[in-house]
Amino acid sequence: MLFRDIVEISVDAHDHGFPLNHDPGPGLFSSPPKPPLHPDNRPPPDDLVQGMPPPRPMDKNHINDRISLFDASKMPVAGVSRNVKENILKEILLNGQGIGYLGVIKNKPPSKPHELRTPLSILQGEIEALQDGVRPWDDKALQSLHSEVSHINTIVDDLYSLSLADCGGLSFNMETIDPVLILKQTLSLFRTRFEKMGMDIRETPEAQNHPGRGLRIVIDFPVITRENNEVAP
Amino acid sequence: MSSPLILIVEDEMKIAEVIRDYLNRFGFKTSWLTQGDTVIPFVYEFGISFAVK
Repeated sequence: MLFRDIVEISVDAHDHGFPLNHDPGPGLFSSPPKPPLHPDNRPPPDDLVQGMPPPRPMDKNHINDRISLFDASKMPVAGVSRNVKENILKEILLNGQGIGYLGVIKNKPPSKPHELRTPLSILQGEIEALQDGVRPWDDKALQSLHSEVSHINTIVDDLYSLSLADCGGLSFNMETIDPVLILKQTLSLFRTRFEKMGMDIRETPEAQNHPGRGLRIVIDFPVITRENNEVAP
Repeated sequence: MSSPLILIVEDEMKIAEVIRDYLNRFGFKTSWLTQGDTVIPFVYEFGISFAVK
């Protein structure tokens, strides 16, 4: 759904030069009060369906004015922040396509919403258990609630970092890491499970420590999740 | 008549514990598995009255 919607937006920008004088229908863009005509004031090409004309770069000075004429939050792209939508539009207007930001969206870690949902479900269940008298109010219950709130805080911080990345405002903290060591630590989480499945993990001579430079945030997101940490012995 | 055995299949420990506490409160016996591929062997060996995922 997300891919299709963005592709449709991209096609519109190709064909019409992103016409703000054309209202494509309810829910897509808000109609501007007195939208400007296309810069060269020529009608849309006739071969809209037959093919994609080459991208027509636009003067950068006009982009912000054009974006300000409609409400980007009404773009029909679910689950994408307003900043990302505006960046997609800027890229469409600059390059005639929004494929670059499409790649960013597709590569977003999909586990974050699920990870947020899990501690919220735990909080809800534990609070309702206390309300229903299924569990006693004691230090153990309080500590469990506190740990879940702390975990949610961590995830919210991660989401904030992602939103900064959306608008290009994320400053990455480069640090020297050892990818092999991270791989070993990750495999150790699954070692018992692998052994139960009859799988043997062997370390090859080449898999020695090779300190490298990278972004730990990129490595941590897809590999280590709460679920893996807790289920693995 | 013995209490029915309810099988809980849930990989999140705290969620499983909440479900277990509710079921125990209403007099059900419970067993807990974390992985779906262990369910069928468990059912063959012990038999269950109901399963919760």
